[in-house]
Amino acid sequence: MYILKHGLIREGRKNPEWGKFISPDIELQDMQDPNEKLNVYIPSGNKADFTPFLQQNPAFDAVVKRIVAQRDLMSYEEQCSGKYYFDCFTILHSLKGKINRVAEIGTYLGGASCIFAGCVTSLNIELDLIEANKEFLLYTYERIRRAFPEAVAKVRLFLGDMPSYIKNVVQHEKQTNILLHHDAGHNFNQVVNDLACLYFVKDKIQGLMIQDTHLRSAKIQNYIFVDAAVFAIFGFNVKFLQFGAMYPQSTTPAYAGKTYFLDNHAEGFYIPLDQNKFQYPHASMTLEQIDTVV
Amino acid sequence: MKNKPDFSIFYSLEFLNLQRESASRNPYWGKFISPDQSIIHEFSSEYNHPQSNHSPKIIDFTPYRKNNPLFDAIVDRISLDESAKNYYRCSAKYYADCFNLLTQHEKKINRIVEVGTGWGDLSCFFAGSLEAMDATLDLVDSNPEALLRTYVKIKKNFPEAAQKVRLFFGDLPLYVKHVSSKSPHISLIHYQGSYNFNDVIRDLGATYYAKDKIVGTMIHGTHIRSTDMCSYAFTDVAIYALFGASVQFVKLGEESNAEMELNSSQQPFTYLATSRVDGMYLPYSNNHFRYPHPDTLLEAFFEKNVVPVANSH
Repeated sequence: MYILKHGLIREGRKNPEWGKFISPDIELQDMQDPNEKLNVYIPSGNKADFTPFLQQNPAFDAVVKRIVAQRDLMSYEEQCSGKYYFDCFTILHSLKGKINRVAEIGTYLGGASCIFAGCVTSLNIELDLIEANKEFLLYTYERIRRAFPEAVAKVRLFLGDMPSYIKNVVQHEKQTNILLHHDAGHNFNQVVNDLACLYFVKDKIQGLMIQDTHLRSAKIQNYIFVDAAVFAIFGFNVKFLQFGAMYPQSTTPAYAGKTYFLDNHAEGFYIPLDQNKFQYPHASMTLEQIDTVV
Repeated sequence: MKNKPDFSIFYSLEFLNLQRESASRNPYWGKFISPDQSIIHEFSSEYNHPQSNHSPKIIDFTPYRKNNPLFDAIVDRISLDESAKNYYRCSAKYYADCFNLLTQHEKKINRIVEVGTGWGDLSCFFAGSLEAMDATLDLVDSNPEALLRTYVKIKKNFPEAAQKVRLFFGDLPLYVKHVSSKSPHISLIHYQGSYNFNDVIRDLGATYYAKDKIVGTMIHGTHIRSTDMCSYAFTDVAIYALFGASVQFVKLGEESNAEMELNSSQQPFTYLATSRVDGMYLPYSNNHFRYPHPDTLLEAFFEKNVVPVANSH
């Protein structure tokens, strides 16, 4: 359960490549499954069901067709619902012309990344993938390269977390307008750290999509409350769009993390930044302060 | 002044988790301690002369007088204690609101549980009400010195109440496990144990297991934020996580509209999130728990934080 790995960032920072863009691993290209080398553990191999969302938007159907073509060849899994991916696609397309980049924080095995990669050419945007786990990042890139080879010229791989990406990349850029997707650490404190960074580059962020707002853990000490972190940052009057799946009843706690989905709670939130105000951090705080807390 | 945050109030942002960890190695952890035994000297040689690290604070109870003779009598007696002004943590309105809320529960409760006693400021209001309420007072704190100095303060100002006061050295989950869930008493809780999100989740989440014996919880500092990244002071957000967005509550204390103005009189700086109040009272019969999961056992609240190993999905 990587979303629970508190030590991941602390370990990752020891890597000299941390906080920088890295190159893809070209050796993966010739393997039938990149996992022959990367050896990423795939817990369930579960795939999203796109079927109910097909034949509503030809552009979405085209992206799905190319994603599904890879399914029998690679060992990845998709952890979001089909509706979630469809809604991400719809939100992204509604921002056509307003953004020039999607930055995805926490790619895992590229489930959402492939949806975004499929839009890179048609929306004329860049795609920055930010991941604390190098294997995930390389796997995701290879998945994109196979499904959407025309997109890879616009894809960059950043080994790091959201604070280091904001600090080392976004802060130094001009005329960037980014749509962020957050599916990184789900621990309340970690999500607060990540989202707090947005305050310092808010003029360069169009909006934030955030995943697993309905997730909880029956292990108290995991403190999985992604939605609560959104309220901590933007206050309870936050203007947001709920999207993705919603379940009428809570699921049963499962896996080592004893995670479950809360009933009647949306899988994801979209928060347009220009319509919201930050309640945290305070103006006297610095990005450096946040980046040093792990 | 109305709608102006009271910056002379000192908010302790220390990590309850760290305090708990060291306290839990004490053999008295999770038990009632007796103030009459010699152990009090093991805990602190200074408990009779507590040193406060914040400056004296004069708070004006005048606007809240003449509503209830008992309240006036309590204020009169506290005012005689010269050291009292050193230890106020809350606004006058907050004390008055807590008192009023308590008296509204006459004959409905027979126990007050105060978690996080600090310097015994609020405890005195509770202690002074015990006889009229026909209730007992359990003080719960992971800092034994806080328990003992609070007891000394109660004994000094309200000596007749002292025999109705018990000192539980532990945290709220332990209190729920060893006391609330095993006793027929109906309690009203006041919580000022921590402002840290995780602490509040763990403490108030544990009250789920005694919810039928708790009429409600008063919580202080729901609006406090800190400029220290590590404090994660988000009490109101934790309340949302436990009770959902439609949580029903009564506002306690002063309301603030000040725009995130910094209180620089203490380190780390604190500020108040906009349009927040000093505290909230959550009546349990009007609310339901969104967390913990019904399948979760109280024991889960005592598990140590184990960093999951990769590949153990």
